[in-house]
Amino acid sequence: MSDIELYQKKIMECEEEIGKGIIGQRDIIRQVMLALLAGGNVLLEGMPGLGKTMLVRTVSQVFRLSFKRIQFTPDLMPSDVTGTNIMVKEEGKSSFRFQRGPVFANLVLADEINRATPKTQSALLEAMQEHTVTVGNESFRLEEPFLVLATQNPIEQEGTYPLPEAQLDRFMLKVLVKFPSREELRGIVGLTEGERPPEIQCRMDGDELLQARSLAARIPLAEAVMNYILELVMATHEENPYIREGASPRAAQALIRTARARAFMEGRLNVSFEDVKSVAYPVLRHRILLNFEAISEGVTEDEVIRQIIEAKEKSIYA
Amino acid sequence: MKSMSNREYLTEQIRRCRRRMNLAGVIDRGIFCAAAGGMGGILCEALSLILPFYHAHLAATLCFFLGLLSGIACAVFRRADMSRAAGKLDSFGLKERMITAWEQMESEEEFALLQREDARRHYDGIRDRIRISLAPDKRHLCALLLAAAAAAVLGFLPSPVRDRATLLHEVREQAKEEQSKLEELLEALDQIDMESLTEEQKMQVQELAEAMRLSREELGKADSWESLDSAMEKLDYKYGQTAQSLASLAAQMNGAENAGIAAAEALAKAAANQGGQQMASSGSAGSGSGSDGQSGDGQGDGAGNGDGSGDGQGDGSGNGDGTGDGQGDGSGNGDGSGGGQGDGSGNGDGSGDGSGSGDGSGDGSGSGGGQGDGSGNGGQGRGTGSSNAKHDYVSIPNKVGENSSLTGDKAGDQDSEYYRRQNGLAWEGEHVDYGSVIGEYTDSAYEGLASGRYPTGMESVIRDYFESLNKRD
Repeated sequence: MSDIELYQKKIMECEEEIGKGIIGQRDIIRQVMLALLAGGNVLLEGMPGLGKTMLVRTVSQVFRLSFKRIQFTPDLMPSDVTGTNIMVKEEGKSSFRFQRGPVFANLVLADEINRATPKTQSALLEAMQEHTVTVGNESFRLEEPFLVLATQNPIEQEGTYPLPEAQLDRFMLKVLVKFPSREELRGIVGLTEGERPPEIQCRMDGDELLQARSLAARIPLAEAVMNYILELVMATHEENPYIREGASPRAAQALIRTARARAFMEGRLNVSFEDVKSVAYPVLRHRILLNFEAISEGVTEDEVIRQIIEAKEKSIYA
Repeated sequence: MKSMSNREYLTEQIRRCRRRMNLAGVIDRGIFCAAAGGMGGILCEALSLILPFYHAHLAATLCFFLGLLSGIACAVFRRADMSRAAGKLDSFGLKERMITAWEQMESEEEFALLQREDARRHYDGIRDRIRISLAPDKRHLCALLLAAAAAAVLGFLPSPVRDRATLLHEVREQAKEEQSKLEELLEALDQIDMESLTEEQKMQVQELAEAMRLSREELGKADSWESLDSAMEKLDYKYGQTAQSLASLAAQMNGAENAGIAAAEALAKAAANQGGQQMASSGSAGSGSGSDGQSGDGQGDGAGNGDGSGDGQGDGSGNGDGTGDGQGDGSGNGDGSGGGQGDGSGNGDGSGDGSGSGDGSGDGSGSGGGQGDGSGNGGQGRGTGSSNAKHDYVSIPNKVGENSSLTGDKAGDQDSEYYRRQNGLAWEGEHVDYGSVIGEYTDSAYEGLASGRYPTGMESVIRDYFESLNKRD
């Protein structure tokens, strides 16, 4: 068995392991796994109590990664996220020493990120994009793998600060966490209220995850698939009755990386059109801005993306 | 197969797929474009119902075939490459394994090798399900069949316009045939050596050529049997006039090898080919010359259709003795008239058995001139004449009789007569009175004037001519 096949197998085992702790939500688990493999950040949008925190905690257990949770509130300060210099007295001399904030972890759960002020939200920008934190004149490298999973509540908008487009663009995926079905809910209740909660086993460590990530990034991408990705992104800039602003070039990068990650997880050694279509929704939905027409007609981002994909369907095997 | 490397195996499979795709493309595009051409065919057939379009069937068939050919050409031009073929194989559920393998075919990296292996494994798994159909698109096939059926139906619909187109076509074909004959005559005229002609003669030749060209244009414009007949009548008249003019022209020139004679012959032959048409033809000019004491050849040429009478004048003079064989009897100075065979009589002074050339022109089968070897000073003779196939002969009124073949008192009041016996021709016609002939011709000319048969500008000339004839009468 080659390294590639070995890591593909391990990743699949990790996914199954996470599934033990999270009932249902298969798509959510898959998309978080994709983000882990592609090295991107995830914005989870859903009602409270749907297992978002549980998901992140389970992921950290399966991959044996450090995990920190930050509850974003309006009075949360940037230094509360990144850390701050504190004065320490050693051997009679006072000096400043950097006290690391909760962002220094492999997995950071930014809970209800839209409740913090833009200033605090932007404190995460550098960490999310560059994987570094700068305090004063000193920059600190975050430990790899580093992943931010932010959550936001879609309905309680009072007293919130919607994320600016620039920050939204830094999330590789926006995952919609839907309410579980009746059977899934029964499973969740049974799992959490039972006498013995499931034991989550570690299947991979951080280094192995990085190794798998580098392998996934080498999955070959055919020219036709690349063209399809570019066409999808360009289509968000073409004349569309519902789109005010189209996706950024970062969307194309995210599509390629997540499509490769999906192919890797599917046990394939090439990217297919199906991979691209599958990841197009979480990649594009927070990167296109709908106009008033769409909002007034109740058209969602996913509906617009579906139309774009359907319009490009004929060109796939032409 | 198993011994083949993954690269060779996959390349072969993609190539096979491409061949099949290209064949299917040729079939489908050919049918589609033939159907499109069929629309053109339908248009041609529909047009032939409202516009005279004789070649509608041919054009419709051509449209179909052109469409088919363009479709094949288009398919060849847009033939699938290996990437498209690989993509086609992927459409059977291979999830872009083949196209990725094709693009990575030259790579020897671990990923590429594994990917080829993976592609081959999956390809073999679904190979039995892969079918590249050669069947054309049903819509294209239906379109072709419908177009062919519609064109056929339209093609068989009766239409007066279509009948008219057929008529027009036949008229034009006939006109074209006449035009080609006319072209030959024009070429013969062009071969005349203009440098040896006088200015007046040049003008004459040019006028003849111009008249022929006008006739050619008129034939080109003919769009009914009536107009074609009209044009042909004018052309016949011009043939006659041309023949006479050329004969006259040739007679004015010395030398048997003169190109004018050859042209006259050609023209006369062409005129002879107008079967069934009455027409004038030219008699020939003959000339002979010789010097004292020497032998000389005299030639008389003539050509014509049918038997006819001809009045010819031959002036010849000869001095001296000579011997010769000739078919013509005649000698000396004097006027002689000859028919085609060169019979002539003359009164004159002369001695010897010299032969004079009798110049005569005759309409008719032959006239001829005789060839004679003679000695003496050859005479020159010139004769013109005309006849028609019905062998009419005309009694010449005394006032114009100047011919030695005529009897009667030229100075008297009675008409002179032209005797069969005396000129030796095989007369077979009936006697027609001069006045009636002139009258018929006059009536015919006036009818032609009334119906606009003659070119503009010629009406007054024709009218004046016949008026002058009637006055003389």
